[in-house]
Amino acid sequence: MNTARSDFRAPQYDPALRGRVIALSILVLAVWKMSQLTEFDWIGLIHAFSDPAPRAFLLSFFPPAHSIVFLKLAILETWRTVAIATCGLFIAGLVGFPVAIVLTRVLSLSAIGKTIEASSWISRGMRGVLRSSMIFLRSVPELIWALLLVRVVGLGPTAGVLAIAITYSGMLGKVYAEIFESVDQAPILSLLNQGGSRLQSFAFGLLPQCSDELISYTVYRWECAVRSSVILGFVGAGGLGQQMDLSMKMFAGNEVCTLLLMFVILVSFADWMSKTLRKVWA
Amino acid sequence: MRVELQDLSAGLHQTQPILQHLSLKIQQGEQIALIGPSGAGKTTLLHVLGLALAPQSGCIRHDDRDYWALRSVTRHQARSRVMIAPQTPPLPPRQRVVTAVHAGRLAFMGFWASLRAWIAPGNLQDIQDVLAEFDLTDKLFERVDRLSGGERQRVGLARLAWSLADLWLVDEPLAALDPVRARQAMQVMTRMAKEREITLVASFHQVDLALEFFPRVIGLRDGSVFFDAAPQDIRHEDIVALFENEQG
Repeated sequence: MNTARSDFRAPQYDPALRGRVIALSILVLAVWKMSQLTEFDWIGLIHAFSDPAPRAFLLSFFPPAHSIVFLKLAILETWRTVAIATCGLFIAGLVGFPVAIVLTRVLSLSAIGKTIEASSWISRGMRGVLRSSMIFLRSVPELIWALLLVRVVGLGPTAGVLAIAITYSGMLGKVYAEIFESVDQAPILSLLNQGGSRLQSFAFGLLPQCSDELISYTVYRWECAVRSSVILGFVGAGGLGQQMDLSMKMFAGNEVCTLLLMFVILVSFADWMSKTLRKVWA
Repeated sequence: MRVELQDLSAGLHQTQPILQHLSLKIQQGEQIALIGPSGAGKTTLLHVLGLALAPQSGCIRHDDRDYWALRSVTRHQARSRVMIAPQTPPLPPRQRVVTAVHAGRLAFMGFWASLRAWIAPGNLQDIQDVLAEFDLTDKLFERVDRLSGGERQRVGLARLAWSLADLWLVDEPLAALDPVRARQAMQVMTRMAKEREITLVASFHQVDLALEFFPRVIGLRDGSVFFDAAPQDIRHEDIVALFENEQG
């Protein structure tokens, strides 16, 4: 390095400083105005501890409920939550996977040897209809589906399974189709060009290219489904959430605490599971 | 399979077709080498011959039937009788060699047979024999992406040999092979085609090999036939003129 002093004089302060100060002020101002809009009350949080009723509820969290009967119930409901997520996702896969195959343009038989504009309007129209119905399925959140379904099929896990199935089939259909479209087309076209059927070309030319990605994404979605099926319980769709809602309404703080702990364990288990599975396949 | 082209133009762009007013007759069991500079339309011609690209004008007949005038289902059935082997072998990276070769017969397998082959391919001994022809004996269960470029190209040729098509359209089958293997692959390919009375059209950059092995050589330049003759009738000047750079 050159040890001689530079002829140029360094500026008095860092030129980036002004921008940072301005950005920070804007952020503080925005959060302040937004907290006004949301009527967020810092003082209310302190009041909660001085008021007897909320304080009693919070204090009743400890020790967590640990009777054998309740623990058994909590474990059963946790397991039921996993079951809701898994069944829901399975049904979603049964719907989403075939839809994604149909949506994949590469697999179109009538389009071989022709330009995109020349492909038949019937097949383009059918893909359009399918694509928009997928959008419809996933644009309504699973919580809303669950609310509706609880009124249709009654309280309990069935509503949860169906709600997950409906929303996730939309998601899986869309993302699977995107994964299918992203692969190298040459192996697929080659099989189609030698007279292979659409399904054969899919199985022998497309799937081997993206099976890892598919599995990895599905496992990640399973993790999401586990988390969201807990929430679904609050509207009466069964599982851990429904139990938590009941305990909350009875102000049984110790039970809420146990259920929360189960929730934490469940989510970290799903997290770990999905990470491990994806590491195995990726 | 017999193929006849009449005044055919084709290409990916409507405005500038690559093949221009091509007329050609190919007899059953004939073996034809296509040579010519890059961009002459060799690959496009192979795709047209294989029903993979629709003509923009003119027509093409396979055994006197114009499949582009028929329904797309009928046309697709006809595709089971042709096999295009692209220059870069179209094999999914994670697939195993045995499955990749097996896929050469998909058009002749029903749903259950394909499903079975997808889970665990059968005909192991037969596929092994085909691989042995191309010097790939120990690669049966190897993954395609763990092969060298030359090996991959030979797997592509093994898939071609395994297929039941009677029109073989092979695009630069020797591009990734060393001289010894190239000669060997050439011998196997032409011998198999002769034994099974398969019509073989293949494009090459190795002019000497093409002239040595093929009884009919077509020189293609700017999408038109430059010469179409038996190798003994092709003079050195014809070859030079075929590859001559237009600018000078």
